[in-house]
Amino acid sequence: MFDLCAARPEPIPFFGELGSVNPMFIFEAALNNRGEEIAKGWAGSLTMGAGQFCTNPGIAVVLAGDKASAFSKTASEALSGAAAQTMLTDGIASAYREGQARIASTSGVREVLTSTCDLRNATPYLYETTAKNWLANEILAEEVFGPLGMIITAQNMDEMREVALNLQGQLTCTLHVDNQDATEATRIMPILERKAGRILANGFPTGVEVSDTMVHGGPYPASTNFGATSVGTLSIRRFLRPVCYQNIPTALLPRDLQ
Amino acid sequence: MFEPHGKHLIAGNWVSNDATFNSSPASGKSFAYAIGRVSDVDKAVKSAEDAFWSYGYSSRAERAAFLNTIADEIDARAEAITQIGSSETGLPEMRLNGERGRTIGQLRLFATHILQDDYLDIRFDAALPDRQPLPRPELKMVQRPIGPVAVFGASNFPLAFSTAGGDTAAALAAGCPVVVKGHSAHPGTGEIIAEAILAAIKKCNIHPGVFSLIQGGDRKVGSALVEHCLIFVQQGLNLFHFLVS
Repeated sequence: MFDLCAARPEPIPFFGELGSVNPMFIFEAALNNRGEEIAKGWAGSLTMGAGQFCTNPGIAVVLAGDKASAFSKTASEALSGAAAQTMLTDGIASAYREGQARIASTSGVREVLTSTCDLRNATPYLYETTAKNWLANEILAEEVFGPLGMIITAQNMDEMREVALNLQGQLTCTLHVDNQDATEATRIMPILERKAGRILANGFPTGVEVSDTMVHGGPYPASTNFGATSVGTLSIRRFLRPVCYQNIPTALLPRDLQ
Repeated sequence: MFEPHGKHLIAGNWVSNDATFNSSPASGKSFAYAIGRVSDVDKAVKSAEDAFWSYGYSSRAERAAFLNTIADEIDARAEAITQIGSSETGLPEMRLNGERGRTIGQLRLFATHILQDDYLDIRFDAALPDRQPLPRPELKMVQRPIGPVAVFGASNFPLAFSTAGGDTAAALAAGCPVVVKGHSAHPGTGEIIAEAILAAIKKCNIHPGVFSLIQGGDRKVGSALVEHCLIFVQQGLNLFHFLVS
């Protein structure tokens, strides 16, 4: 579609959203203080609407260690309780299973929660990999449309920032931070600003407000047009074009300028 | 029980086609829908271009009233919309009721938004007749609507980002006629929403070319829309059906 728009004799703008994994970065103090609560909240957000939201949070980045293992266990338990949900089309359901198989067969990926779903149904899957392995396998950065989560364990904050730096454009990036995380969070913010249309803290990205400040867009492939949003009042800008009127008599001006 | 007739809405007329595709509902009855033809696209886009000469120059108050009337007409069909939508997409009734509220809210929000003029970003440079070495003329700037727009319905939001979803609401608010290519995952939902928009067009006495819905079922519809020289393109929230089909 993008190519067709660009290949026209008179090219036209094309606004499309091509994919976003909506990563969450869970900082040390937040993980220590309330990792379980975040894991449960994540499971809820990941399975909402069979995971068929463009802001579905597919990736959680945490510091490796006991707390990360506890996070993974809690998320897995919460996800395993989710019932099978009907997907929007047969095609989406089969693409979900293809995506799942692609993740499962990538080297260095550990299966945390598996399930079986067939026909037009989706059930959750959860995988885990290291930051090093994620960085080495570009395919792991691609969206799987549906309730599939991946935990990325970083050895240290440098690795966590390296993951952020290697993200493709995103609709959203999420921080889970407590007060003690302020210094590290300050260091990652400039990276996330370059990656995402919306950055949120201590919440989940599903649930997009329709309002004056909303930005639902982001650098490619989150959107084909980084300067625009498709949700909220600012989205009207996609359908407007500035025109300058020089020395034009009042009667000839558009009525909003008269 | 809403029984869709399966036709396209082209510039105020319901148009059938002998060639049809059947919907694939998650539950309930399947219905036959007209497959879109390139000639349908051509008619819809030309009417949208005709409509632009009036609609693109309408007052903000007129467009706000139109958006609010579309919202009213959708509200008036609430039950039937949820029934066909839930059947087609498998989404639970509660979700679709919420999404209908969001859709109506978006239309009303844009009505309020354009009644204030800040979105127009009006700028004014006063003339400087005595400026040396050359005088400056008076300059004014305003945001104008770009013309007819193509909107591709999204599979994952059958209401909020499809026929009368956020893209359509924003384009109509700006003053742009809209041609929607319906998503084949929810053609009946598209039809009943198109019916609501048509009712609003009649009530507000607006050029019928301001809105058309062409059902999918043939990929040529999408490419014909994109290739049409008179149109700009807005893909709905999610390109998924292009990736998987």
